Amino acid sequence: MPVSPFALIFIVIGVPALLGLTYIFVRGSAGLRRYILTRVALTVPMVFILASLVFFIMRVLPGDPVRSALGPKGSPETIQRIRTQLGLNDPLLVQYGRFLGGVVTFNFGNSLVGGHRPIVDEMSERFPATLELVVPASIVALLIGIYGGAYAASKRKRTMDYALRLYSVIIYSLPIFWLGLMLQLLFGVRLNVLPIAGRIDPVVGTTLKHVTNVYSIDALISGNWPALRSVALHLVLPTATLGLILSGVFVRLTRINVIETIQSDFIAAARARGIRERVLVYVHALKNAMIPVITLIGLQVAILLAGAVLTETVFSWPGMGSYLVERISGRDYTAVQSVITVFALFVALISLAVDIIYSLVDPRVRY
Amino acid sequence: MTDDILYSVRNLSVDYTTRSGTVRAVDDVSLDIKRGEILGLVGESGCGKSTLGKALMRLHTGPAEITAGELWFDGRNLMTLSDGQMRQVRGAELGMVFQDPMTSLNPVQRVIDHISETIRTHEPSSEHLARQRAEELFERLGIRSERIDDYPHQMSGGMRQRVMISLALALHAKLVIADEPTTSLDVIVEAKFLDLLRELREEFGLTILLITHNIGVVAEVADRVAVMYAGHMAEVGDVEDVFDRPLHPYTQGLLQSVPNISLTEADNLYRMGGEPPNLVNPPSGCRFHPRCPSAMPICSRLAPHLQPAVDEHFVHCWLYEDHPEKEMPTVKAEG
Amino acid sequence: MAIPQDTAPEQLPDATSWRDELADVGFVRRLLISRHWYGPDWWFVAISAVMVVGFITLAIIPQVFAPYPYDTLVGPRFLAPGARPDLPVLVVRSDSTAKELRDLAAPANAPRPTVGVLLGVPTAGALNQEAQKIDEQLKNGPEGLRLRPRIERFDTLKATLQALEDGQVEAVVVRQLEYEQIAGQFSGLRQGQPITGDTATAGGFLLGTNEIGQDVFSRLIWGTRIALIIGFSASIVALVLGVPLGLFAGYSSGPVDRLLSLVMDSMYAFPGLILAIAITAVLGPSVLNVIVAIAVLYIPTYYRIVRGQTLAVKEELYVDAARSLGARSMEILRRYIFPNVIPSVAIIFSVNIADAILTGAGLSFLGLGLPPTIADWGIDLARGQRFIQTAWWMITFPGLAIMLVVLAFSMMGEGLTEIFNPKLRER
Repeated sequence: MPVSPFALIFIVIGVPALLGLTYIFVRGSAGLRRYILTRVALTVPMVFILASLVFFIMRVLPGDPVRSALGPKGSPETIQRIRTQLGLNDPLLVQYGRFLGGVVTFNFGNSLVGGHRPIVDEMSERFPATLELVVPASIVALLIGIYGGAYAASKRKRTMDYALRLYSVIIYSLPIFWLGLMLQLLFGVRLNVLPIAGRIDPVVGTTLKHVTNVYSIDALISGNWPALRSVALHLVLPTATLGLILSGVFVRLTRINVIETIQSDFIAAARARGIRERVLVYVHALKNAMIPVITLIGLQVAILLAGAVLTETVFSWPGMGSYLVERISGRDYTAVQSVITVFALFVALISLAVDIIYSLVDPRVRY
Repeated sequence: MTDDILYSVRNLSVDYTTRSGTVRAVDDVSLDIKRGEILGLVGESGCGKSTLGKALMRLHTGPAEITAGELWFDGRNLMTLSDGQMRQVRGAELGMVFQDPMTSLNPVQRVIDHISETIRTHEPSSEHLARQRAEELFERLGIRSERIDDYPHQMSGGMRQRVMISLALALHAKLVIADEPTTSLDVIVEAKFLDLLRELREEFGLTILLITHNIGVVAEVADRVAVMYAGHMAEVGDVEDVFDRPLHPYTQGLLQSVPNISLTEADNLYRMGGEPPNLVNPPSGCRFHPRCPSAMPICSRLAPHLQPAVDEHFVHCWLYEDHPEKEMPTVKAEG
Repeated sequence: MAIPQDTAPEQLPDATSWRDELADVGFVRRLLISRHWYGPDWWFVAISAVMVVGFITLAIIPQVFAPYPYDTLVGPRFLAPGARPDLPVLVVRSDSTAKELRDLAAPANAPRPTVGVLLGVPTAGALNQEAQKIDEQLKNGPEGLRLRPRIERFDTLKATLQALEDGQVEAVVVRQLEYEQIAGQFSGLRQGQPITGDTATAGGFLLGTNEIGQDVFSRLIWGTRIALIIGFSASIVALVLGVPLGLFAGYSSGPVDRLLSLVMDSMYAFPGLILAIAITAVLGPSVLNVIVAIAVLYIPTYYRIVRGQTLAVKEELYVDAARSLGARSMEILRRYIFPNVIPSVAIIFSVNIADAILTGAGLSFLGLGLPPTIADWGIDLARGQRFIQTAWWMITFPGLAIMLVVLAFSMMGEGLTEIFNPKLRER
C-alpha cells in the first residue's frame, strides 16, 4: 500500500517546520514570537476566505453538472437520484459544512464524473507529478535569477546590464505555453532528441514501482536506472519552460534590490577598506538584497502555480494543473473546488514558511 | 617630496556630472598633510571637503570623478595606480572613518567579522589568527569582549564609532581620513572620541585628516587647519595662527560667527552676508568675491593662488598676493 | 537657472548649455533633448511607444492590413507560409482566347469541349465540380450557353500536354506547380486561370493556412483587436475600482482598511490565472466574462500600491502643514496624494495591460473564456498544438504576436520605471 503522498509531503515539510518553529520560540525574542504567532494566525482566515469564495462561486454557477454529465439519456428521475446520492440536493449550509469538514479532514468527496472516484485518490496521483515539475523549475529559476540579477547590477548602465534587462523583459512577455510549444517544436519535432509529452516512457513506466509517485525518487529508491533516465529526459523541456519564465521575474527583482544595496553606505565603507568589488556585490550586497527578495519569493509561488497549469497542459504532464483544466471542461465541480482549495492551502503555507524564514534571516528581527 | 610630508595633493579637481550641468566640487586644490599630525579640514556644507576626503582614496564612483591632479602618497602618485593596486592601498595604508556608523556597518555581518574580513583581504591569514588580532584591537579600543560577536544594531552609537576606528586601524594604516566622525554623536561621546583620537595618534603613529564643519572640534584636537570654501582652499596654517590671526576674509567671517559666551542680549549674532554659491555656475575669479567685504575689481576676474603669507600660513586671496592689475596695495600679514 | 545675488552684470555667463535651454522649449524638442540624459532607457520607452501605437492601429482598423476576413476559408488546408497552393489551372494553346474555365462554354447544340486531365488524381473531380457550378449559372442565361466538358484522361503529364498541343483536346486542367515544372518543353501553350480560387490566393499566403484553410496572417491581424480590447478594458476596470479603494483605505486607515487589506492580500497571493479560470468557468465563455475575470485579478495590485503610496504621503510634513491650515480631506487627497500616486499608477497600468493580454491568451489557450468563433491568438495556438508535427507555422506566429504585443507594453512600463523612480538613479 503506497504511502499517501500527502502524508509524505506533510512529513517532509511539516517536521522540519515544527522543529524550526520550536527553535525560534525558544531562542527568539518576544517580538519574534509575537510575529510568528500573528503570522500563523493570519494564515487560517486567509485560507478560510479563499476556500469559501471558491465554494460559493461554484454553487452560484448556472447549469446542472449532473445533467450535462448524463446527457440527453438522463431522465429527470435519474438526475434527481444521483443528485441526492451526491448530496447536491441538501440545503446550502449543510453542503458548506460538509465542505469545510472535508477541507480539514482531507476528504473532498467524490468526483462527479467518470467512476466517481474519491478525489483524494485522484489528487494523490496528480500532486506528486506537479511537485516533480515545480521543484526543479524553481531551483533553475532561482539560480538564473539571483546570479543573473546580481551580475546585471554589477554591470549597471553598461551593455551587459541592458542585455540582461532586455532578457528579463522578453522572458516576462513570453507566453509560457508558447515557449513550451516552441521548445517542443525545436527539440521534439525538428531535432527529435527529447520527448514532448508525459512523465515517462510508457514501456519503461510499467517497470517502475510507485511508492511516492514522484517518479524520479521512486526510480532512485528501486535502482531502476532506465526509468530514471526516462524520467530525466521527460523532465528537461517542461522544467526548462517553467524555470526560464520564472527566472525573468527573479532577475528583475534581484537586480533592483542589489542596485539599491550597492549604493548603501556600508558598501562604500567596505570599499574604503579595500574589499574586492566582486565580494562586495556577490556576498555583501547580495546577502542584504536577498532579504526583501525572500518575501517576494513567496509571492512568486502564485506565478509558479499558474505557470504549472499551462506547462502541464502543453506537455500533457499529468499533474494538478492539467487535472484542474480537465475537470473544468468536464464540469466536475466538486473536483474543481477541491483542487482550488488545495492550491490556496499550498500558497498560504508557502507564504507562511517564507515569512518565517525571513524573520530568521534578518538578524534585526531576530534579536 | 620632503620626508615629513606624508600626503601631497597637487592641483586636484573633482567634477560631478549632474542633470543641470557639471559641478566642479573641488577646483585646483593643493594640500600637504604632514606625518604624524592631525589636520582639520573645515568648511560649510557643500564646500567640497567630503569630496576631497573621498578623492584622497580615489573612492569616487558614478557621477563623480577626478579630472585633474596628482595624489602623492608616501612617494607614489596614486593616480597612476591600477584599480587592483589602488584596492590594495585602501584599508592597508589609507583608512577611512565614516560619519554615520550605523549605516556604515553591514547589518547582517557581526562586527568582529568586519575586521577579520578586512585583515584576510589584505594579508593571508587564517580565520583564527585574524580573529585573534581583531579581538586584541577591540580590547585596545575599549570594546568589551562579550560584545564582539554582536551585530551592529545591538551596539550603541559610541561603540559603533569605535568599531569604525578599529576597521581603519586593523592593518596599521598610515593615514586615517575621518569624515565628520562626530556629527552623529552627542557631546560627551564626542569628547571621548576625540581623546581616543589623540591617544591613537601617539600610540600608533597615525596621521589623521579630520573633516568637519565644527570649528570647535578642530580647535580642540587639531595641529593644523585647512579652510575650504566652494571647492577652493581658502587658508591653511597652524591652528593657533589661523584662529588668532585669520587672514582670509571668509575665515574671519567664520570665526566671527561662532557664538561667544560673552555676548549680551542686546548684541546680534554676526551673520556673514550673501549665500553659498551655486557650483554649477560658480562666481568667476575668486568664488568668495560676491560675499567678501574686501572685494576688489580683480577678485571677480581672476582667481588668486594659494600663497604663503607668513611662513607656513597659506592663504588664497588677492589681498595678500601681488598682481600688476591690483589697485590697492598688498597686505603684509604679521608673523 | 539660479544666478548668485551679488554677481556684477558683466559676469553673466553668455554661453548657456543645452540643459538650460531644456526648460524653455516645447514638448517635442524636450523629448528629443532628454534622450541625452536618459540614455538607453529613452530608447526603451520610445521604441515601445511606437510599437504600442502600431498595435493600437492594427486593432482599430484591421481590415486595412489583413488581406482576408478571419473566418473565410481562403485556400487549401495546411499550406506552408509562402507556398503556392497547388491549384488546378486551365492550360490552353497560345492561339486560344480562353482564359478561364468559363470561357470554354459553348452553345447548347455545339460539340462539347474536351478537357484533358492526368489519370489517377482528383483534378477531374474538381473540374467536374467547378464545371457543374458554372453550368448551373449559365443554364438559365440569355445566351443559352452550357458547359459540359468531356473529360479525357492521359497516363502522363507529358502526354496530356502533348495532346493539347496536337489539338486532340481543347484544354487541359493540371496542377499549377506540376505544369510549371514541365512547361518549358512546350512552346505553343499558355497558362490560364486556376479553376478554383482566384489569382490572389494562387500566389500563396504570407504565413500559411491553418487546419481548415483560413489565412493565418489575417487571423493574426484580426486577433490584435480582441487582445487589446481585453487588455485595455480589464486594466481600466481594475484601475477604476482599485485606485479609489486604495486611496480610501490608505487615507482612512481604520477597520475598513484592515478588512479590505486582508481580502486584497489573500487575492493577491493567490495564483491569478487559476482565479481567472475559476471565474470564467462559472460565468461561461464570453468576452465580457473574460474582462471581468481579469479585472478582478488586478484590483489588488492597484489597491496595494496606491494604498502604500497614500500612507507614505500622508505622513509627509507638507500634508500636516496643509491640514493645520484647515484643508479638508478631499482637498488633501486631490492636491497632494493623488498627484504623487499618478506615476506609479501609470507604470502599473502599462504593465497591467501586458499581463492582462497574457492571461487572456492563457485562458483561451486552455479553451476557457472566449467563444471559438472569435479570432484570438490563444485559440489559434490551442488549435495548432494538435498539428505540431505537420504545421509549425500554426503555433509559431500567433505566439510571436502575443509576445510582441506584451513586450511593447511591458517595455514601456519598464522604461517608465527607470525614469520615474528616483531611487535607482546613481548618486
